[in-house]
Amino acid sequence: MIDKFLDTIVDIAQESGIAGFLADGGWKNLVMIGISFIFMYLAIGKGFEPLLLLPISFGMLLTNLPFTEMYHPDLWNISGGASIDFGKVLHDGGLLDILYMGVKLQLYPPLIFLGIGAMTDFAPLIANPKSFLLGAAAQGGIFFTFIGAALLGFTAAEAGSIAIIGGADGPTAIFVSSRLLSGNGATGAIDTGTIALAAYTYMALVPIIQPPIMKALTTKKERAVKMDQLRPVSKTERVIFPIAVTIVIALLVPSAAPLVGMLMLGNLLKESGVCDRLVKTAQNELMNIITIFLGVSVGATTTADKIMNTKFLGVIILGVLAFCLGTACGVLFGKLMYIFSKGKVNPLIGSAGVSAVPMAARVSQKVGQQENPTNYLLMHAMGPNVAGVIGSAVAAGVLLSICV
Amino acid sequence: MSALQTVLATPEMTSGYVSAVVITGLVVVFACLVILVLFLYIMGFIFNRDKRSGKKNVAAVTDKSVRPEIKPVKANSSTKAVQGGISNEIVAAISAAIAMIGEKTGKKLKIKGIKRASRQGSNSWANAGKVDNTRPF
Repeated sequence: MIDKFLDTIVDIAQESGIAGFLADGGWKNLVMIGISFIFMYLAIGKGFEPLLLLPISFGMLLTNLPFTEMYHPDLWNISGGASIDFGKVLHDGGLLDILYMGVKLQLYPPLIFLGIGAMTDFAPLIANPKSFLLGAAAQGGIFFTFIGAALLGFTAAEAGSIAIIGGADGPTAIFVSSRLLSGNGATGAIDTGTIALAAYTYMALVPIIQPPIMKALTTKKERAVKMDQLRPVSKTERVIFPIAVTIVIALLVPSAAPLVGMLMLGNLLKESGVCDRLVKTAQNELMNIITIFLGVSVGATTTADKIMNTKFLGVIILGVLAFCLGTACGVLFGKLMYIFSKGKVNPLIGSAGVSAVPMAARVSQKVGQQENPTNYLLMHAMGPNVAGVIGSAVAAGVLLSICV
Repeated sequence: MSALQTVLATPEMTSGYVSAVVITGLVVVFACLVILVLFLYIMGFIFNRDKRSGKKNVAAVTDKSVRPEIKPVKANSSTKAVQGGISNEIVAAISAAIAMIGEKTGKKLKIKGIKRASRQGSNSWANAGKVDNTRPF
């Protein structure tokens, strides 16, 4: 009887998660759990993008606890042009596998864009259409990083997925990487989770990354420029804008239509003024539900073998490079506009072109006020900021067209 | 470009391909957004034509040195419109809310007076809540 008791205890011990840590390579899971704690600290203690970093870090914790069986990487690891067997995922998958289907089927990012559209005020952009050019210039970070990724030996699909981090737009990065890394160019070395983790981390670090670049590329005189007040925008213009943008972008870059279309649908619901209930749902319940699903399932993909390799180090380096280049391109284009407008445009608003709404616009405001405390650049920076969202969606469409 | 080619590790990532991605990407993004810039300028021109013509009329009037008739403001005229016991903060909050509604609907709204509603019947906020929650799709 004692033998049976001891055998049972041994069996339980062998099947426990603790035994998993002692197994071959189990220490990596411990390291990953440590990293998840760091991200939890950044989210809770420092307030860095907590709405996303907290679910992502908890997903990371869950997936690295041995034998939890909530996420199965083998169901998603495909190569050689094979496609994911979603029937198998539904049959054999765990909770996080099922939730991750929304990422792989590219459902969550457009739905998040619906919510973002319902919360975004495009009036500063409509009032100052030139802002669109700053939003376009800041996308230079995406394409110049593509060169860096190519030099580091990444495939086209991987390079496109890494480069889109420069768009400073989490849903766009997830949308692009989930599609590109499911295709022929995927080697399995990096995953959507890796890209999302890098993108959201750098987005949280925008107030630290951007100011030194902005100050280095501008003079004191340029930073102190006060811009004219924006004109009021009529309701008719606000209603026409999302419809027109959808038509133009969908006709020119059809692969950007899911993101831009949903963004503009959300905005049209808001600006029409006749769909209050739908707007409230898009802004709150729907957005929050999708954010939880997206965060926790993307976090679950960050298994030890995906993070603890040299490729991830490459993603981290290229990610920060993408952010820096995007900021620099925006500011330099802002300087160009400063020259052509004979000093009427403050170049600092160019850095807001890297999306990261509204953090990047707030950084422009803060840096501008350091030179001139009476200067209010926030609304002027919101123009390039929301233009950056549209610009990064278009850039995503281009990458999807070329790199698949 | 040949130097770039030598360091590109993956066979598909030729220097020509990478250059094509970069150039195409930048050109397409700029082209799309420039089209939207032009569209917004045209839209702004059309919808602000009335306002601009209004401004021109005002300018014409001032050029002719015709001074507009300025009616003296009656003392306490604004305070009379506000019922006693209503603080300035409440007046400011109501004005801001009405200004926002005016901006949202595109109508020019004017506050003629602020007075307390009678306590008879149900609460206005409760009524607003009921209407909001029972409005059909």
